[in-house]
Amino acid sequence: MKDRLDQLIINAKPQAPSPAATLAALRARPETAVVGAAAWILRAAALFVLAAGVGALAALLPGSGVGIPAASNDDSIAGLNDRAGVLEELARLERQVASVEAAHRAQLDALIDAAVREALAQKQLRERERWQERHIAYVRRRYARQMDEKLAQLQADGIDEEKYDRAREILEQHGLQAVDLIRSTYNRAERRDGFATLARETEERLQRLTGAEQWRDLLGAEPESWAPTTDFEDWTDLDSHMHWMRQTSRG
Amino acid sequence: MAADQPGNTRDDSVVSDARNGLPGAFEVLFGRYHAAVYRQILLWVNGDHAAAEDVAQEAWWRIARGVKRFEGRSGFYAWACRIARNESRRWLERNARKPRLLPPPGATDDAEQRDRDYSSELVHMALKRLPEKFATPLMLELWEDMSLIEIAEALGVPEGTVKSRLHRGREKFREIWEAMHREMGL
Repeated sequence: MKDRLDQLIINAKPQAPSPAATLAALRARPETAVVGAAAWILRAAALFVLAAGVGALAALLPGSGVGIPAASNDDSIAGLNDRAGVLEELARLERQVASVEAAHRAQLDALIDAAVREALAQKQLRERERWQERHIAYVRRRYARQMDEKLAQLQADGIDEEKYDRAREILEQHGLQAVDLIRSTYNRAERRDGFATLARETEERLQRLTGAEQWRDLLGAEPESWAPTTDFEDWTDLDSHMHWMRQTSRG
Repeated sequence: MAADQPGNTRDDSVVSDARNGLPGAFEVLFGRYHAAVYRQILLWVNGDHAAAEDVAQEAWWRIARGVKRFEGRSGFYAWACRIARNESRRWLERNARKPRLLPPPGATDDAEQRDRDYSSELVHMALKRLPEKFATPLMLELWEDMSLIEIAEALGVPEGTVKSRLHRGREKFREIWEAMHREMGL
């Protein structure tokens, strides 16, 4: 018996197109034809090499010429041995061609794999840098606004000038350290708990400076965490991207 | 389950045949997983069927070319899905479209059909919000009608893992579903 949510998911099952259509389209792809043609060209080249090798060998071997009759039984046996030798040489050449083909294919595959890996790594690096800068720009904008609001409230609460300057200094340091932490988090040097530690330390410093009561009244809420919301496991997490697109577009 | 449904014979032997270029082996794998891969792609490309067909074709072409290098460290379906996911990402990068909540105006005059489409899109959104390790087994079970053993084989993980992921997947889906309804005031 399926429960209500199971049934909901089942009802949302999308239709899939006929596999035959996709398979036919796959078979009709021009790239497939090119791969096939390349294989045939390679095979033809191999046959040409084989034929040339056999021809050269045959020319070198006595008694292998067409139309020259065997003079005696000994000659016939020698001729058979020669032909067996030719066949052996043919098999050896075939093995050689196959091994050259395999080595070439493996080398090509390795080169393509390396190129693809490198391109992906570069792309991921660019992506990561792009999101890091965007994240930092967002934090700077919001943090500057929040800092101004907090300082204005401290001023309104009648904090003296010296304490005001010191509080500004602490808050500015917090902002700079948060940006550094974001960079470290993107580079995997720091985990996300660094943000909580920083927030706690800043809060303690401000409490000592302004008096716990005043600061609690001023904040009234938990400080905002500037950490990325996910660990960006492979730097390509679509949900994370979408989250930051939404966050940063709010400015 | 019909003979052409996923997991009737062991993937390993068919994959091995496909790697060795045995005629028809790749077609067996294609027949087994085509629909599941397509539905997965459809979620990634935000429900755009035309895009999903293009992406599926490209993905299967790459799967066909790469099957010789498939080392079997994961299940064949999980590997095929990784390729399909990369293709979907490429498509999304080329076509930076936003998720569409409602069908375009005038898509259908049938109110019931519109409600069904809307509800399906919400389910797809919720499935997209689920971590993949939970969403994939759920979709394989409920959409592809696969058993625990078949899902375990397709993903290359133990049956116990599938069981716990299905359980946690259902819990998380429920949480996401309820949160979505709260967000939308439904």
